[in-house]
Amino acid sequence: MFSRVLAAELYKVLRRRPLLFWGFLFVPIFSFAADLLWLSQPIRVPSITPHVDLLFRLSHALEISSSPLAQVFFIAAAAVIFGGEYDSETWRLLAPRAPRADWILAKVFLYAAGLFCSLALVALGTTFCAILQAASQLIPLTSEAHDGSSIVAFAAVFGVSWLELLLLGLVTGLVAVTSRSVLVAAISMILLTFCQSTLISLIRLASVVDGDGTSAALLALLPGLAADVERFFATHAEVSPGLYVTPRVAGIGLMSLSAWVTLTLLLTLVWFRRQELSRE
Amino acid sequence: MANVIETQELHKRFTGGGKTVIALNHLSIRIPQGGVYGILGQNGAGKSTLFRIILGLVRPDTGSVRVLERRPGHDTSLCWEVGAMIETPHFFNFMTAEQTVQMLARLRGTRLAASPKALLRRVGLAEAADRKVHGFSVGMKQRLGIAVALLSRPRLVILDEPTSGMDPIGIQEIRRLIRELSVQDGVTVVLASHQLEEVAKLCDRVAILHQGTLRAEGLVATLLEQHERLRLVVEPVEQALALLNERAERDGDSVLADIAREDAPQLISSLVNAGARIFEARWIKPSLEDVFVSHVAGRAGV
Repeated sequence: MFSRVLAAELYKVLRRRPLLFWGFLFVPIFSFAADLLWLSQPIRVPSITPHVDLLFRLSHALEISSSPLAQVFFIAAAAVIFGGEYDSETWRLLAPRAPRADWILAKVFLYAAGLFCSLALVALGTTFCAILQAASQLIPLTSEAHDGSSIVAFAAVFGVSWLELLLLGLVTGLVAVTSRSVLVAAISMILLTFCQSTLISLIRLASVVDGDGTSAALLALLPGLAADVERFFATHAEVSPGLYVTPRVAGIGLMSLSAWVTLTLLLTLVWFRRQELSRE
Repeated sequence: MANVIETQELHKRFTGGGKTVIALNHLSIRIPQGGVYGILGQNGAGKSTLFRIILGLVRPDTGSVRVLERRPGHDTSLCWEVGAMIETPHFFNFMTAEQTVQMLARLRGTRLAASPKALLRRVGLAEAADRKVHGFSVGMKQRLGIAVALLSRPRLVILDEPTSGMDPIGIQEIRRLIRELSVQDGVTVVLASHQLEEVAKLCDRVAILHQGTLRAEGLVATLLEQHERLRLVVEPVEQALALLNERAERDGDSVLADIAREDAPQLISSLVNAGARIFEARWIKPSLEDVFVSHVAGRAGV
């Protein structure tokens, strides 16, 4: 039954062009345009070893998942996907035709797939610009991971960014289902995202990575911070000179993200299964 | 005859804004298989809540409901044997009528009763198949709602106000469709409507709901018969009224007597013996509206 629900949801989403464009295409297009603009700048900061580090570029590009401005578009997509049936009063049409859990899981699946495509397009655009820069400036294109394969490092960064945005969508979905409104979900999540972003900017990442008593609690409370830590760990980048993310802190961060995703998904499923659809 | 819907002591209340509304008050109702069954009631009588419980959209507080001998909300195969249109149907504004049917058909897999185009043709929407639902009138949305309800050749079709917002020609077409469904396809149709004339024309049986309780239920013909009244043009009227006590009311120079058919000869004989002059005695058949009003308003007679 799930595959049929998924097919029906996919059929519907593919016909919702504004959702596809603003929700999943605009951010990659914007990222690509920004890269092209940066390439066209005549002034260059001279580099000690002139080369294009593709892994660095990709990691940096995928950090777009933690940008509050980019998150606004993904929040809007999630709010429409999860809350659309309440606004259009179409749950009465859909809910009796398949198990309720299947509907939520199908929406999660499609949102997750949309995110995947969106981030893949960001990565593709960045790769294209990196190749273009290397070719135009006749400098080597490198992709060196400090420890292990660069493909693994890229996959890890990609996965963390995907997980961060998936969580954002799931929380938006939970708010949309409980409030029965696209607008309430979108506005409250945008506010929440800006609050989280402000908090993260006030916290010194180095103190978190140093592993004092509050670091675990901060990582558990702020999934955005956990995602930042994971990205540093995946690329083996320095948090501050000589300071790297330890596997213990990275483990806590990953557990925090996974726990948030699982908990939010379960809460949405339970809430929706018990929800009375006496009105949408 | 098996029942397609059977509720037992169904109770549902809604709480919100500091107020509690009892939508269904220990409602027990049995809807037999076959024919067209009408559910009548004022706004807020509990019709839509009953339908939503039948579809598993709302859970009852207490009591039980069985639809086609299964529990709604627990058996997903049930959803394809029951087609429904609850209240004014809403659709995805960005899709065309055909796309809407296609999308819902994907949920059914390959076992569709008819092609989406054929379904739309059946409800008179063939011309508008490629138009976005956004521009549809209420009547067109009703038609699309009926098409969606018929998507999988259901055994039971529930239609809430199927002709609301339609023009007279549209009403006739939908009425014909409902009859076809019942007679040709053998589908049990349960419909709620405020248009009592339409219900009287379409339904074999009706149930009258009021404030979540069942006030009357039965064959339309039987209900009408039960509410027949004897009109007596009599002189003096006062004498007839005194004899009938509270079972009659004055209507100009005549009396409307609320008595059983078999009591009529005895009444007439008593009046004649008492010296009254009877000029006319005639049974007045009430309309379904009269029956409905009598049950909802709680009046003894029509």
